[in-house]
Amino acid sequence: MRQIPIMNASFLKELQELVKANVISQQTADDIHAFYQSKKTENNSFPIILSILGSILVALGIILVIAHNWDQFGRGIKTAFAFLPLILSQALCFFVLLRKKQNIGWKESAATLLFFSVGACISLVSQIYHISGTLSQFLLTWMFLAIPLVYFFSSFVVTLLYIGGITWYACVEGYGYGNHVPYWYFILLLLLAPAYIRVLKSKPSGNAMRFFNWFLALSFAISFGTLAKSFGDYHVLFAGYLGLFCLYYLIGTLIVQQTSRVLGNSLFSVGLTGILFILITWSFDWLWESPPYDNPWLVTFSRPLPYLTVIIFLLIGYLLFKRFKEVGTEAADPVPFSAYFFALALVAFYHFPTAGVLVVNFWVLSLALYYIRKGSIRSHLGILNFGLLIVTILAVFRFFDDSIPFIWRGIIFLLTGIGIFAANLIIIKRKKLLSQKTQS
Amino acid sequence: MKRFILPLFALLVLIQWSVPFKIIWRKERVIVAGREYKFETQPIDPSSPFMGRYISLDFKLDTFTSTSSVQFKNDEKVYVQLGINGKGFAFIKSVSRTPPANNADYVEAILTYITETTGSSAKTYRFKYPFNGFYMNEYKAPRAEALYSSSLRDSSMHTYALIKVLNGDAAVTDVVIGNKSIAEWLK
Repeated sequence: MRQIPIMNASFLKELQELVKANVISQQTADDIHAFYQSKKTENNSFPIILSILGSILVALGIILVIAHNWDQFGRGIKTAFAFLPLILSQALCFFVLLRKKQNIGWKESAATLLFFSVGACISLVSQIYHISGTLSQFLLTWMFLAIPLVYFFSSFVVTLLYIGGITWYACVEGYGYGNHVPYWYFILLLLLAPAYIRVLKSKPSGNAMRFFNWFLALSFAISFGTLAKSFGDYHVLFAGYLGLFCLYYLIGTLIVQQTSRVLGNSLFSVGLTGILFILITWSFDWLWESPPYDNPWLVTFSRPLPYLTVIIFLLIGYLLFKRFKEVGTEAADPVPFSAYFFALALVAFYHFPTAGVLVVNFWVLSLALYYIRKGSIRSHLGILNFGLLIVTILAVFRFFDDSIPFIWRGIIFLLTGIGIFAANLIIIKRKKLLSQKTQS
Repeated sequence: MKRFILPLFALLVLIQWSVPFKIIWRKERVIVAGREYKFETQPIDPSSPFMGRYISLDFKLDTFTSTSSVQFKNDEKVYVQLGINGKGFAFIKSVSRTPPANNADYVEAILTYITETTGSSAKTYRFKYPFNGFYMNEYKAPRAEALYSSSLRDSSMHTYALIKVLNGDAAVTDVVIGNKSIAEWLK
């Protein structure tokens, strides 16, 4: 972040001297003064962060104090106490809406306090009346009552807490014994759409957008598995997840082209990590040789997963075709093809696990070579070493693979090690040569 | 739009109040006007991150064997009609898909498991009630568990939960060990 000069007395004195010496006009001096004043307020984020952290801690503290269960009080007093944090936070929110509407710190703190107070009030009333209920019902009610805060206060913190809350709901409802597809999760997610569009229009490359994207990308990836039948749909689930990550990656690359930022690009990062994670998991023989369920091909058509997987695969095809039309084969990237490759490998080699293991290893190695080549062409050490990192990970995992003879494992390791040294040396030398040429 | 924000926020405040108020109103009605049943139980003490420590009420009255031809399914919501046996404890009269008519007392439950008996048309249904926890002070809940363990060794001590029932809704009002409220024991 750019350093802003502090509006101290000496700075103001300098300005006045410049006015006196007729270097700048009084109007210009006033403008400079106003400019730095506004910058000061804009960058005043530290107290905002502190006040938000304070609100979260106070709110969590209230929940814990309530959870202690003050059984010496009667039902009436306990109920009054249950409403106290809620009423106080709501009053604070009214005050903020009336008087502090432009102050981000006040808005975020008040909205965060009210977010937690709503949950605390429902919890305490349930505690007083010994209502067991389910965690998923509780989270669902809480999130429904909290979503308007995102819009009333344009609260960034409540938005993130809300995404966390609905993801928790999706996990409680959709995973584990006796699970159901958490359809409400998707409806609750859609309720965020106007907020997302608002941030996208106002500050598309700001921190809020980046956090929003990270939370959404992770939340959807975590909840995607709930669309499958638990303890079933084994192959479709892996293919579906790989499809989802390839889709993330493709959309992410489009954003990368626009902003040329990789680390801040959640879709790209989550997509690439997910693709490599699934492929490396399937580079082991145990998933091929002993699937954990009797019939891994069983597809539960009553669940949305198979249909969504087909839609995702079609979308990947569409995006690949679009990219091919735009840039041709020049910038051909094998990474988003991983979903198709994996699905085909599953169908073709289900009865030939050794061949399955081999082709997946070959595919991961190809992806690594793609990055090594790309890094080498662009003389980009980051990309080159990422490719080498993939090879290293693959080699490390094969180190523990008993089915490969020691001699072959040894050779793989030697070649990987030598490759890493050689590739880096070549790039560094090439860069030196290039800088010498430009100097001369 | 700006002038609507405050009235809209006031509406949100009312909606946020409505959820806990609805719970309070329903449960108070059951507590005041409901009929009391004694559900025999065996408590243990788990905890919930939001609501604190509670005694998990593991009711003995959680199965029902029937030869009825109705094909119930797991996870299905059922209506359990209650009666009071000679010892004064609750027992299950019937389990049905629809609420029983004739003003009979019943509670809602979720079927969790169905066991078929070989050589017989009888099926045993296991279910879960929506009132299976009794929330307690965090320091007292573990002591309540210890108290229960000791009461188990004494066959004369009955452990039960007092449940008020009205129109299918139920509210736990107390847990009793050997004719004395658990709160009395822990004083």
